Amino acid sequence: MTEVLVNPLAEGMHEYRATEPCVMVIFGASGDLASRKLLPSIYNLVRQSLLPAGFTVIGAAKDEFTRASFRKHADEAIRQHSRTQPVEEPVLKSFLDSLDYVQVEFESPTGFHALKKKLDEVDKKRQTGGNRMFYCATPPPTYGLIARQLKDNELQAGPGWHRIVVEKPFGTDLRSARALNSELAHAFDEKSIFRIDHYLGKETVQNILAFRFANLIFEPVWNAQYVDSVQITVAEELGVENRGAYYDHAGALRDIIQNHALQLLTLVAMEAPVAFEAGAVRDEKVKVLRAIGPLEGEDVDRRTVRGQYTAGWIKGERAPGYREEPNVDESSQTETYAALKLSVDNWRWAGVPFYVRTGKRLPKRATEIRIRFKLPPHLTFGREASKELHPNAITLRIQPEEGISLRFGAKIPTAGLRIGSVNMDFLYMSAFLTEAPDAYERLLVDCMLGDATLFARIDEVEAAWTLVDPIDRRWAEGKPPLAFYEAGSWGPREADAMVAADGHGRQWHRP
Amino acid sequence: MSSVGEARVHEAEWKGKGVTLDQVLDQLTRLRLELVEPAPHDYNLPHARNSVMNLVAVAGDAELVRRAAATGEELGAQHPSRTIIIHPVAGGASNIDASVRTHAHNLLAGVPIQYEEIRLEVRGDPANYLYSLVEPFLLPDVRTHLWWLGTPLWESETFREVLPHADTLVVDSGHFERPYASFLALARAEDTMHEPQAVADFQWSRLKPWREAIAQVFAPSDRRVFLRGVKSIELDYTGRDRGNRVRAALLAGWLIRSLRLRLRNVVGEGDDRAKAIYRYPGGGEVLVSERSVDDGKTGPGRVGGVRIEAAADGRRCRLELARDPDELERAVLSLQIDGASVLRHDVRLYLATAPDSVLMSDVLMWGRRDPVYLSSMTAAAGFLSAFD
Repeated sequence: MTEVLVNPLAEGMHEYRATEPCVMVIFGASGDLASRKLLPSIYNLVRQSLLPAGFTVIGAAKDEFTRASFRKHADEAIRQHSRTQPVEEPVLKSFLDSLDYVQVEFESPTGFHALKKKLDEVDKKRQTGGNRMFYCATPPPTYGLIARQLKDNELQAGPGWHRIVVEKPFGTDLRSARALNSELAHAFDEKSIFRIDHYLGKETVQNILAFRFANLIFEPVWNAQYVDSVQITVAEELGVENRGAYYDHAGALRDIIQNHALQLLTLVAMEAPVAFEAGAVRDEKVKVLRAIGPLEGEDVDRRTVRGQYTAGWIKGERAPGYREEPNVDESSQTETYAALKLSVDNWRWAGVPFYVRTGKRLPKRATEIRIRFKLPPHLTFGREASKELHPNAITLRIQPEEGISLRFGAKIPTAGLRIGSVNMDFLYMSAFLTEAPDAYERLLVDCMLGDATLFARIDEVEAAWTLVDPIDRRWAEGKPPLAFYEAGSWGPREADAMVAADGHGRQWHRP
Repeated sequence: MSSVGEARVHEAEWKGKGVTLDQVLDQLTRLRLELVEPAPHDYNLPHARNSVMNLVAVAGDAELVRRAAATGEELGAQHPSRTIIIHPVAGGASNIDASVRTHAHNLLAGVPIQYEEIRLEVRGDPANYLYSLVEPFLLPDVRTHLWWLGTPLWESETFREVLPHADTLVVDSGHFERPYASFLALARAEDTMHEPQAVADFQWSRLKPWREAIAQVFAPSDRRVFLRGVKSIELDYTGRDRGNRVRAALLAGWLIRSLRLRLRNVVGEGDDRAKAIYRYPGGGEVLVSERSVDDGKTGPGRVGGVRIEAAADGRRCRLELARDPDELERAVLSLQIDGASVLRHDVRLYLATAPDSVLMSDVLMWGRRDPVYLSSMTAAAGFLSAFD
């Protein structure tokens, strides 16, 4: 057996995680995702010296770019979208100098031959050892095709590691997700398939696990004995923008609930993994998804709300109704809002409702998880003195103003004895003397390291679709009926009524 | 605060001459309350208890006081904190002149930040009892960082008295007076500190890009074998006096401790060169040397370059990382294996010219003892003192 030598020079370098030199091929390099996220993220990784010497990016797309014109395109994209401004000219120049481009038609092997030749050249010239990351920044229907071409043209063979990264959505239902996985699995083994949901790369999402499992004081009350209910809100201020054609076929359930919202739910509800590593974390998440009680038939009518926004006002500006948006059917039945009441049927969570909602054109962009606790069993200070006391609550704010709030009761400073609620806030951005990396930056480095902890595994994806598919089918039958809400409101009244009907003074928390 | 619009800034200030510490504390309490009184139920007002640290700066002259204040303010733009600046003035009758400034603003996202600065100019006997001056102002439950600007008075009672009360001693070994002696004194001071106390050194941060670039070369597993067969490590420093060797010695110390080398003997020393033989635990000798170079541009005491030569399994490797004399923040890394060029690329020495506030953020980021720094410093001190 060959001895694996450690690199003693890397000891103690906290920010630096030693990645081997590699080539990143971006399919769809001229598209929106590459321009807005990938290229700026890579630039910022270079800026922080987090990428290995020899690291190379090759753009691959249908467009007729030359190497020079692609560099110009990348230069403009980075200047416009980098999270750090102004850009550092020497860093940018150095990065742009390492960029290359190959024109590729995904249906034809010709471009893949050229790409293979280019990769071999780079391996020799920049000592990248055959290590390759293929990033599909392309529409989901192309993922299988690209994987097949990579295999047929032997781009995923030879020395070094070869990984493929695909963006959500991973299919449009359980069946298509399985078909997609079958196509990917034909060319790559599961540990080389990285399904990226950038939500999981956010520091505050990872901090959910740190909050729960690095602190003793919260976990003992994190169960049905003390928790009254859990709310997960993923609110968007924007409408469908230029994604009308896509969105009108997807809807809020598939676009957000199936992935982002259920991912957050798993992190809140999961048991402690034995270690923060890919297998253990994802095993626990899958257990949660499998414990969620399926919603079928009339349950869907009672425990879900689907809504669509009509014209309204947001921040003093008129917002059009969904059916007025470009590329949207004028009689569209697609939901832009979804609210679900879910249950996690296990010992920890039996009887605790998980209210999950997402919507477009809500008053502001906000993602949060709110854990509402039960009231004390006996009001020592009497009902009158406790009139202003609300149940304890912990709010995990994912975005914006990332942080954690704890609501608790305190004596109001008056002559008599009155108890009121106060908040204690932790503000993520001001508590640490370091900048938080962008989610894509974190995930790109994880992929280079082969660490799949923050990527979705196939059984997670399938379990999520298993939950969502029956709801989707019922909704397609028009049950429950589509509810409408004004742009700029917090969603349809039916969603408020669904929560209020459960009693206990429950209502949606305003982020 | 240049980055924050005036409409979102609240400030209050008080100054007094010949005051007592109680008076200063009263004024601090008054100013803190003044900031929150206008609208006590406004969520957006600052939450003073969100402070993340106490920064105690000991500044020996007006220029250092200015630097400490600027750094505290720049950190305070993002991080609620309290900076206590002590300016001890030798001799004279006992006297304290003080100022208190509280500053609060809301970031664009509405996040409230409060920063407080207390300055004490202290004469006479009180200047010898820094801890008694600082302690009343320390916020509880957050770490206290003692930043000694310039060169700490290593042997003084004042230094010895205050050091045990700091969680972190922050220094800049790259700018010590009498750098050679001071560096050894820092190593001795560190010896007296115990977990969780830590030394944080701006110079260690400045060397970070050098360390990262060198370490990264050996990230591919097939190159790591060379780290078992290093034959020579040669570092360049600018200037001629032996004090100028200190910054490069810290980099040498890092390589020595990482490779687990032990000093065998000194080979030679002159004004422009120091050479010593080290040995791997299992045998195998390594020549470690520092060489004076004069690029005529970057000023004395800077690290100019590092060269590592190694041989293993019948193959040879030569790594060179050389600073561009025309650009302080740029170096060129080249790697040859068996005489063939394998790598050549630019390295950005991104902390080389960073201001104090950036270096402070960097050294305090982890807020705990850095065993790699400490063992590197010890190894560097061992290298330097071998020539005594």
